[in-house]
Amino acid sequence: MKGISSLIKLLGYALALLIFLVLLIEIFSLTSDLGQGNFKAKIANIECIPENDGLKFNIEVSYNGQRVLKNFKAFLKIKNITLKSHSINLGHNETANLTIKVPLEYLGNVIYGNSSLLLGFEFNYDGIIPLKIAFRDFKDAYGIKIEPLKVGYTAYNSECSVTMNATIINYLPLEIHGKVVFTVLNYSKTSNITLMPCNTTVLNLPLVNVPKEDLEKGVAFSINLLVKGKVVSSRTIIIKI
Amino acid sequence: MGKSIIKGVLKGLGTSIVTIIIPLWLISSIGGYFEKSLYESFKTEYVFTVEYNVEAYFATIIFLSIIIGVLEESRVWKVLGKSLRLALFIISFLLIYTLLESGIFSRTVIVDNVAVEVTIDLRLILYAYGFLIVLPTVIATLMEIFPLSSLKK
Repeated sequence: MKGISSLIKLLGYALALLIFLVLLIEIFSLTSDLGQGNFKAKIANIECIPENDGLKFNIEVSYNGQRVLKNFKAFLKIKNITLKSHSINLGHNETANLTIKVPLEYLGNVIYGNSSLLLGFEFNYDGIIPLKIAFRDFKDAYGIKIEPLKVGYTAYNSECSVTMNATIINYLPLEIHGKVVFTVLNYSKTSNITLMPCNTTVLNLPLVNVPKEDLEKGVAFSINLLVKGKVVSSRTIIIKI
Repeated sequence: MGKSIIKGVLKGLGTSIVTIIIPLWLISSIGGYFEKSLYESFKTEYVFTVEYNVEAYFATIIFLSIIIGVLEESRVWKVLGKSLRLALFIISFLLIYTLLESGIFSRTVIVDNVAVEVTIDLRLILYAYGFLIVLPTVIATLMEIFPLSSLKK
């Protein structure tokens, strides 16, 4: 009886040691992949889906390591709801595109509510270690973007009159009613704005007189878009002559 | 008497090192190594601190295991010693379970002002420890206890 019990123990310990060693090697490889930035995921583009009033996130993923990432999925987490892409196996030096469709009602929660949006990806490293990496508050990647279009100025003795145009790109299939707050030094102007779904709106900002010496150092022109009092997009442009 | 005490001490020490200390040290090293490299990989400003004070647990487990080893060598307390050995295994399994946060590590790091939540599932280690170390030892100990207790009757 003692012989059998010793054999059971020995077999168990030997197998456990083997598993620990395998895990140790895998973890070492995983951390070196993390250190070298071998996993990459970026939003390639965002498309509006007219038929179901949703949004399609096209995510480009790539892996430059030596192992295989099994069941690789991208996911978006809105509040408690997780939307996942289809899964793929990503091998050495492979790039793939994944798509996540987000229905309109969830997007409304992000823009008008206080729901956070997390973008992430999950996979089984070499089919052994499940790993999940999620990025919080990736505001710049989705929704509404403010881009400067044209800046012009007329110089006087000690002042400069600066005019600026910007565009607000609404990637969302939602009509958005909000306020644009334009701030330069002590000057601030708030105006109402309506952004059409999946459309670009040109913003003609008021002419501002700025002291020449300030402009030589660089002046920050801030544009904030507020929806229901919450900043949904902002952009600061430093203008210097 | 003295000989059996020395034998019990050595047995307790050896058993605790092979079945508890080495696996626990390996597991905490794997977890700690992953956590440390995570912060280094993402080049965050977070200062890494070793969270696992396993030395204190090691000392307690070794001490208890030695006492249990001595009891196991005694003719009178043999069954009690083996029963306590089982209890120690179950306690050490729970300890590892707690240290490993149920096998799922979740850490938040800041990269370029964006919070990144990294979750690694290391439940396989717990399964390996539970099914390949704790379970065979429990079965083997029970196989040793039953003949002893039936002899007493």
